[in-house]
Amino acid sequence: MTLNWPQVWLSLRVAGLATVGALVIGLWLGWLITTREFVGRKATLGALALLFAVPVVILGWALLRPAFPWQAGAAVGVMAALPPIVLGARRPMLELNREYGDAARSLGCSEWRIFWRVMLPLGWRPILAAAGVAFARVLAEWSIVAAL
Amino acid sequence: MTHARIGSVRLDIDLPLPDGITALFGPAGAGKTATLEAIAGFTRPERGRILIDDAIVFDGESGVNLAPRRRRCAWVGARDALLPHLTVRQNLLFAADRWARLERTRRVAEMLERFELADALEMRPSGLPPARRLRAEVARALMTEPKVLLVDDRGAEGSAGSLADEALLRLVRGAFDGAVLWVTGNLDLCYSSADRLALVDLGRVVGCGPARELMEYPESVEAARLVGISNLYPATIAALDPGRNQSRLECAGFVLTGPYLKGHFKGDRVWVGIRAQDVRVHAGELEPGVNFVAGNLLRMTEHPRTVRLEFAGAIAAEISREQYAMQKDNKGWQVELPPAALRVF
Repeated sequence: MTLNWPQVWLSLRVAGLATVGALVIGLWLGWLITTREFVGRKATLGALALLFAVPVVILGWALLRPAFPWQAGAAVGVMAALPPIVLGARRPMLELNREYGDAARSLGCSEWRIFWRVMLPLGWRPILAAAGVAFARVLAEWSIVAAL
Repeated sequence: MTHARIGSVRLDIDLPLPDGITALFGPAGAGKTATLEAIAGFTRPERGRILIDDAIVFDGESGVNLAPRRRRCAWVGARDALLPHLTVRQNLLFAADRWARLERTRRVAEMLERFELADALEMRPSGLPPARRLRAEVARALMTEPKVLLVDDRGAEGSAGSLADEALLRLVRGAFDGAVLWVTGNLDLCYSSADRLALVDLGRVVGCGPARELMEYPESVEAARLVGISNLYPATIAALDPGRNQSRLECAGFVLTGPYLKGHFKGDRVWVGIRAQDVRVHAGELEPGVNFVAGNLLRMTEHPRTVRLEFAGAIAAEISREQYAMQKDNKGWQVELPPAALRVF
């Protein structure tokens, strides 16, 4: 069996870009959900769970026309990568926020600073794991879309 | 001067906080932590008003609710919140970011020196014993030059309800001259190191005042119970004699002679209390004497330095082991409740 190397490279590029994009959006969203009470917080979580359940093939089929650029594929891939990242990072974020968030806030830290100086250094392991799951998901779904 | 009032279903605290150390003492679930969290801004009271240095940080009516990071409250929670990925020194630097680098380093070094943490400087929190971690956390909290210091020191198991000791409170006093609210489960520490004591139970302040005075002369039964006066009896005032500075108090099973009670009338229902340590026990049959009561020994409990004797009528006496050794073969017991040690509320 021979691998179609340009195809493999393309899949990796799409999955990589989608994961990075979803990390940026997902960590921001996740931190927002854990630290703030806002209207629609529960609904956002529900929507993410729903997005987890919907196969991205269907989304891709609906959104992508034949002969789309690979960047568009990555954009759809962000939607596939978002749920595992937010849902996977939520638990460690919740825990870190409870343990160190309030103490850091009383020391006068902004949310931004808490995110960079507390949340990331202490929570990167589970976040990395979630990103790995997200990457695998995009890669799998992409290969189906690409094969169609 | 800080004035905190938190009103909600569970909590009704009205507590002025002058400069100096105020210890907050009460049983579990009394609302100590909730009070601290409301002042620091982590929980939002339903009603009431919290002022720090005459600045309103929370007001239920007008909807003012300052974010925790703008309240200038140093807060040390019950769970240990030193950042585990940073050393003690870096933890302090973390809190000192509003100064330029040189100034920051100087201030951190000074604070570490002051809290006798110089040897732990490059250690991670996990390498320190809990009491030292608390010390480092207090030092870190004070780096921000707060207006109030709030410490929730509920202590670990086997630490007598508090991780702090007299030494730490002495250091705090030396390093910070604002108002300190220190939640503790250790009454001895309140007596030795706090300026003022606030007693809370069931979400209410049941006693507040200078620590030693409040522990010696509590204002209410609830306060008396909290400061460890275990012998409490409802009584009726049978006679009052201001001339001889005496009063006669009729309790359920016995009559006591107490000091003259200002502000009370004959026939008033009051509570009489006495510490178990102040009760004296004697051998033999009941003799006529001031406040002698026949003792019917029910139970005896041995403690490391003392022996606690429980008599019928809910009278408990705590005597030293030596005294007990001399008296343990007593045929009969009589209990003396010295009038000077009686507390009436």
